[in-house]
Amino acid sequence: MSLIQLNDVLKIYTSKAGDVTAVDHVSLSIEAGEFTAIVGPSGCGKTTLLNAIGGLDRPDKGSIRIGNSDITGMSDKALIDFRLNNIGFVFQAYNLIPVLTAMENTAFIMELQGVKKTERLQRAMDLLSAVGIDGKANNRPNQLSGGQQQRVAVARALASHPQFILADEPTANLDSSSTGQLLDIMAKLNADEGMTFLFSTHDQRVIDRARRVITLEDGKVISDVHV
Amino acid sequence: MKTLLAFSFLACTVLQSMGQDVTALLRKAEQASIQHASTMDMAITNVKPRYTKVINMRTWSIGNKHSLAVITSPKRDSGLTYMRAGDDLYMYSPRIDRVSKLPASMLMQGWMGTDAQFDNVLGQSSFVDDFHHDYQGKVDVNGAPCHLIACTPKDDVAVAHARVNVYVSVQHGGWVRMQFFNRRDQVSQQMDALRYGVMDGVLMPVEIGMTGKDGVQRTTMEVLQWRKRPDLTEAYFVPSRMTQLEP
Amino acid sequence: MSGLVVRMAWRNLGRNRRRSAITGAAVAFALFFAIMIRSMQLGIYSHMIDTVVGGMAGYVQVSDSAYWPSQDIDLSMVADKDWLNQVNAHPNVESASPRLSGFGLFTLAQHSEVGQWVGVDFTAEGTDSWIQRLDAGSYDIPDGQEVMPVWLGRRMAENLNSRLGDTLIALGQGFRGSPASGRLILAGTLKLGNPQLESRVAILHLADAQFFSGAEGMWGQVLITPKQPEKSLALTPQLANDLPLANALWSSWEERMPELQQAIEADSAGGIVMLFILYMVIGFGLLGTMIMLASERQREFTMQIALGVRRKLLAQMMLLEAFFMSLLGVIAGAVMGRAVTFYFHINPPQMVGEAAEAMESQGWDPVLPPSMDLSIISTHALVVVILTMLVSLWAVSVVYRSPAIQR
Repeated sequence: MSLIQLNDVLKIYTSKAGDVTAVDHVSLSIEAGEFTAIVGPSGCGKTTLLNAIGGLDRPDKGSIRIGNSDITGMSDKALIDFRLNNIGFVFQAYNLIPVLTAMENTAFIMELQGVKKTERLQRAMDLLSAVGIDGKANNRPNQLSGGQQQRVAVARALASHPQFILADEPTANLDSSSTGQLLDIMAKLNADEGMTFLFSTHDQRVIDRARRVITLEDGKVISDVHV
Repeated sequence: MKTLLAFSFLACTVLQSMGQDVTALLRKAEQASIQHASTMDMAITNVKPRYTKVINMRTWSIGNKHSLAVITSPKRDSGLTYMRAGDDLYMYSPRIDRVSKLPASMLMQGWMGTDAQFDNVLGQSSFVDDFHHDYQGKVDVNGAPCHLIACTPKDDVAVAHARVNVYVSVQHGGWVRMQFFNRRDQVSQQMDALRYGVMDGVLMPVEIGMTGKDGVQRTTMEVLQWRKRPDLTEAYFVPSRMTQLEP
Repeated sequence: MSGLVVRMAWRNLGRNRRRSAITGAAVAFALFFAIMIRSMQLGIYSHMIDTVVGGMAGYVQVSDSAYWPSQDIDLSMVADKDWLNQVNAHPNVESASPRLSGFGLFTLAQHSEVGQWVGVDFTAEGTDSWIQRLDAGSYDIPDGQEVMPVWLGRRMAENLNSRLGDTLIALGQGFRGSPASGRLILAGTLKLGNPQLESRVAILHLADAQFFSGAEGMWGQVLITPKQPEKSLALTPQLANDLPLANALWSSWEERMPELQQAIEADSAGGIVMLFILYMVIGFGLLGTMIMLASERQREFTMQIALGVRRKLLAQMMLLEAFFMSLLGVIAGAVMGRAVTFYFHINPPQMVGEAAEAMESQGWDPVLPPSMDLSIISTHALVVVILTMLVSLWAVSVVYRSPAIQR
């Protein structure tokens, strides 16, 4: 059974200029352990598709199943808890909590999950060293570079033991060396621990490292290539 | 014109002569009690809702401007002495063994909780000199015919009463009733000569009722004894005298 | 609520320190002014009530039913010591003491003053309160029928040009037509907080007053201080019922001095209206800050909701942040308010000029002693905190309206 299963997902945005079909009857399945990039030009529907998979937005039609759960029928509140326990998010703008240190940002999700203090501190430290910034554990986001912040974001995304990580344009704001480091880290996590990564990107460096590339155009999957 | 002048002259004379008659009437009514230097024993009974009090006292007086009164009972008050000498008013209290001069305004104040005023106790004011007198005709008081004389103060005289009605007995010429009006033309006090008697050969009111503002008569003054004292002179009425009296 | 929420709320205060400081200052300012206004107002009221009611008129008064308003000594009541003992034993009564009073003329050499003499049972009234009122002299003079000690209001003593030890002559109307007269030795002068009282009151021992006026065995009135003086009005009928006395009139000071009570209520209402306006102004200021703050955080709310943070937690965080902000303001405002009222408590502001004359003519010392009642601070601190919390509901509503994605 696939980790993520999309069946005939349709999402239409209504605007004054007319209806825009952002995701047009997409069916997809993603297996555990994949390192997959969703690519395509701006406005092709990558982010909408990712939001739907991440349970941040509801499709107008079709269904999305993650593991054994059909998330399309879940209440808002249930979705929040589902996201907390099953999905790791990495955003383009890092979105760390500015008043928390790198360590606290990482431990934050675990605290919401109710993990014991010693355990979460230990895991946060392990994760920070896994992403190579354990030396900056007590720094706040504004004391970190963009690349460092994004690595903290990855650590945070991993902290909750998610089923997979959704990364929406994670390298868009990073220089090439930071991008390289970040991709190395994610590739290593994928290889060593079998963590599933799903990117939306139009960064060629990401596409080059991906082992499956799904191309969207006008909301439709126009190609799906396993490298 | 001449006629008119003559007439008005006549009118004035008639009124004037009538006025003199009224004044004479008033003078006679007053004189009965004040023409002699005298000494008198008096009892004043004051009936209040919560108590009745009888005060006995002895007075010495000449005319209506010189008078001395010493209280002989009740015990608590005995020895208290009041004196009027001309326009001055004094009090002596054996408790403080001191003569105190009282303000002249006290004359119109209630005396020792009674409806009598200091003025009533220490020689009645005269209405002869300081008042205009208008004869108002005859009226009956308690069934006896009286002359009613309305007295209003002369312009330049400061007095406490706005006007006074004096009722003079047609029969014996003594006063029978005096009504004192305040500035609002309400009766602030009324004195009634309840009984006339002859003391030491002089006809005088021997029982006087005092009625207060509320129209209730609570105070009566009774003359127990009255004697002429031709030996008294004004020199008798000096403050030092007050400390020497035996109640 | 987890430590996480507290930690984040607290740290959020530091994100825009200037704004937090200004908001806190607004709260502090509002509270400070509320404390000042109410402390001065309530202080003046209790000064008025204490001096007139507590000191001289009594919170609850029992007199003959005809005694008021003439206060005629003839309408005094017969002293009933058994009944007085019962009054003193009543659980709601702090103290009860009889008095006898009347009017008289006080003379020393060439000077005379008309005044009110009041016979007081010092022991029953509590010596402490009388010692506090002593301006000069002492109470260490035994009761005696030979020499009657008198304690004059200090202005009256001045007007008589008297010195301690002088012998005054007192004359007045006594009981049932007897003139009251006596020699009084000036044993002390009193400060009574009220110029009118100070220029007309002469205090005697109760027994001396009874002898002086010839009212042996009589009381003019009995003053009762309840354990809770502020409840006098409600307590009066209860006491009257528990402690029956024939032909007696029971009255609380509010009934006897409705004009004082009404003046206080009217003035107090004016102060409350002012405070209401102040709170409105501050409230709208806070609302503006809160709207700005919430719109700045909007993005963060969305992101945290995406990560899996429940809206309830975010709402708690915002409320807590507002609470901290107001708490800092409240602490600052309370400390400032307390400090300034304390200063004025030690150095009561003295009015000058026309205001002082107006106050004196109304019968009060032209001083404004503030109330030191801590409940003023706690009440208005609570009002300010509640106001801040209400305003922060805006941020809560923004949290609940935040979607999980940026649009």
